[in-house]
Amino acid sequence: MRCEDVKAAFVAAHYAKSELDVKAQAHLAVCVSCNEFCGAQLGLDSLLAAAPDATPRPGFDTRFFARLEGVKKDTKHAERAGVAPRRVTRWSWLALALPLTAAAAVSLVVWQRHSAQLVEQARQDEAIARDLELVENLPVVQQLDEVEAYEVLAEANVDDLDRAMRAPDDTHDARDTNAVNPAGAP
Amino acid sequence: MDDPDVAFMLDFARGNDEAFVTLYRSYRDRMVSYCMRLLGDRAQAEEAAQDVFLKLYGARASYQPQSRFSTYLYRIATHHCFNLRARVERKLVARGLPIEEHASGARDAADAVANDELRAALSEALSSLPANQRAALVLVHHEGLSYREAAGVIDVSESALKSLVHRARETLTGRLATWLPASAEVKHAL
Ligand SMILES: [Zn+2]
Repeated sequence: MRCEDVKAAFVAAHYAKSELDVKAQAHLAVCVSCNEFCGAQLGLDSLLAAAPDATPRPGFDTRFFARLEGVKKDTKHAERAGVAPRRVTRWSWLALALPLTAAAAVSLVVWQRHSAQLVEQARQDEAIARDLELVENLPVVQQLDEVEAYEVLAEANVDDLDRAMRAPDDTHDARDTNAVNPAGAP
Repeated sequence: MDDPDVAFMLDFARGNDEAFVTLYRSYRDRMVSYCMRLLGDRAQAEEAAQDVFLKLYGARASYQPQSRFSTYLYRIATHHCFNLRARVERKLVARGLPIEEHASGARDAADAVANDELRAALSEALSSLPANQRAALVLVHHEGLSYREAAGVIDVSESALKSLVHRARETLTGRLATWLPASAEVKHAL
């Protein structure tokens, strides 16, 4: 039996959890090279055991199900877009092409200016979201959230709530303005 | 097919999302571990494992049970990790950087734990293996798949799979020689 065959048979038998055949065992008993190889293989098992299983870190499920929701929404949009009726005649694309090209060119310029800001913003949002995920699952934090929500409602003036319900966009704008310019300076 | 997970997958394909969640919970840890062993970087492995389940979700309409469910999922994971690794390697080549030292961030993770030198040496040796050898070894050694199942995952014959595992182990013993205990008499271990 050749050394290479014995070595291959040894590894195969190792994983098949079967006995090494008699010829290979006989070879192994007298061959120093094969004996060293097989000894090293047994040693390798203990080294491989030094790499333990990796378990998902906290927040893994939250992140996954958020991504899954995104995929579901995209799928729904795509399905809706796919079944939407299209009344396109043979040459109607020509009537659309020029204005669309012009619009695309303008959009591209605007988009390029804002995309860098958006990417940076998204990065910051993601970092914050990850930090929040680590604490949001704590029962204490969940209870605090509930209590806080009730407190805000209890403190709110009925008129304020009514105004907020009627004109949510105005309220939002006003809040944003305040945030940028809290002192109300000109 | 007598595989309860195939039944779950078929149930999910018929529109029961609960069945998907059941599969996700059963295989989540295994997939993170598997991706970690193929990619060597924890953050990348977690992202990849999530990608695998998203791919599974997207595949529900086209699912045909042709193997055990675990084999099917390992196939998705293996191909995805191969692609990710190839993408990283292409980027490194484009930047003129050596692949071996940068393909894995596992050393970062390993540094944080006791026995970190051995783990670092091990992950470096693992990341030096060609992708198919690494996957073959991890599937058979860590995931406990049979040669036949592992061969089905990476689309090779059973004898080719045996050869991949053999070469992987041969390379590792060479690279980790200094960590191996002094050669013992093997005949007594058989
Ligand atoms: Zn020999």
